[in-house]
Amino acid sequence: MSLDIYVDPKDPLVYLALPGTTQLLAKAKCDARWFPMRVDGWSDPGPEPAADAGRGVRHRWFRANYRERELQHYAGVHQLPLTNLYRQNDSSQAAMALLWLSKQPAANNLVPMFLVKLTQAHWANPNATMDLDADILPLLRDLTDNPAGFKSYRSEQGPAELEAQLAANSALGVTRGPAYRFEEQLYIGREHLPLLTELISESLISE
Amino acid sequence: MGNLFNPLESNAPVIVYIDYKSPYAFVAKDLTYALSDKLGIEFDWRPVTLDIPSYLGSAKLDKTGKVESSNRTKSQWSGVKYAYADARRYAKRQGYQLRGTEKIWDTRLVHIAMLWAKRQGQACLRDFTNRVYPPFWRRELDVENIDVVTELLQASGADITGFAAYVATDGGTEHDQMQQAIFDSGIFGVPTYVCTATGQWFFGREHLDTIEWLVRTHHLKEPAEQIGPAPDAAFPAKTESNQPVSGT
Repeated sequence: MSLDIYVDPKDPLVYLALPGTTQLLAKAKCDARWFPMRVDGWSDPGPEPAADAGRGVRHRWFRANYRERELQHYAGVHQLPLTNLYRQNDSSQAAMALLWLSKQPAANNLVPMFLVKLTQAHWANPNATMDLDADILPLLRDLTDNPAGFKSYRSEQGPAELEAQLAANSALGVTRGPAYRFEEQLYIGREHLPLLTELISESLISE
Repeated sequence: MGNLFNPLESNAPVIVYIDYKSPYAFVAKDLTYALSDKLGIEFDWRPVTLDIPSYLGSAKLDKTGKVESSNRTKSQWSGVKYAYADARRYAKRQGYQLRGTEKIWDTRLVHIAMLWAKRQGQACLRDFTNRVYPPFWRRELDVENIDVVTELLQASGADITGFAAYVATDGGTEHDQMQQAIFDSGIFGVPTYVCTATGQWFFGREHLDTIEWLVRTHHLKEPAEQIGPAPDAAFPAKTESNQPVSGT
């Protein structure tokens, strides 16, 4: 029995989902397989549109404005810093690091540890960009005995494996994150963690 | 009602905004009533008549479930399909059937009826809501038909004298003014919950724990050690059904 978890390391929703997800994994004692996915960075909604702007335009602005407020509320609940929400950066190197870590011994511990440390550092520093040299390699050096292995991975099979994974995600309907896949069912968002906990427990009992 | 209506203010500590055509509001219904019962507090239920095509495109299915007409993008379709599948699995856990809708329903009439039922008391409104949701989501209820809606009101214990005239006059006006004010306040979806003590509002049933926490903290003023830390967003996994005893 395994829970598949799909994350884009730059997604602030992933950042907020990590405490609950790691708790679930500890509690449910089930194996997890972590996969990278790619989502668009959040766009700054800008100033409020005029009252005579189209209803759809206003609707989208209200939603985007609310989304930030909700995110900041729950970042506060978790006591997690969340700065410069609308920065745009490429998370491909972090995604490849995730793929590489998932092939290492003790991947079950390493991957969540990597994601927690990476995202906390990222959202605490408004200028961080998930840069390979500044952010990712130092973290891999802290976490693994063989950080050089990642350098070869990213210059050899890493890029192709990442693209293959992203294509596989699309085929599964994994378009927004964080996404969880359990017993062929897709669950998008950390809101599903109580149900997933229950389903995993039921599944353990019936095994 | 006129200009006095404020979408974020009420005598109740919590305002609940729903639309009968929203599957997410449907699966939130019993959870919301359960919270209201647990806290021993009546919530102020209000209708939001969503203008779905304005932000999510429109579509109509034929009787076999095949798309008859649509102006939705691939991404909008993907979002809509996931939303229904997601609501369906939670509805099933509550003992309800949730079938995909064949069209985007106009819920103005049934929302005017909701206002009518509300005037006749919370018990009447609760019964009415319980009578509308399950059959509507089994595709057994035409909520655009005034005879059907009037029958539901009557079955819920409402006095229906004057209801048809109310729809055509004051009820319609009240509903339309209310909808404009709700949208202008920034409320864009359902279910939405307003904690009137703080003015904070949240979209989605995953915030019910947060609403409970806010009410206990700011309205009931319970000691912090009794309430515990502020909760995360989460869909409750289990809920008992809240259908009326007579069933629909």
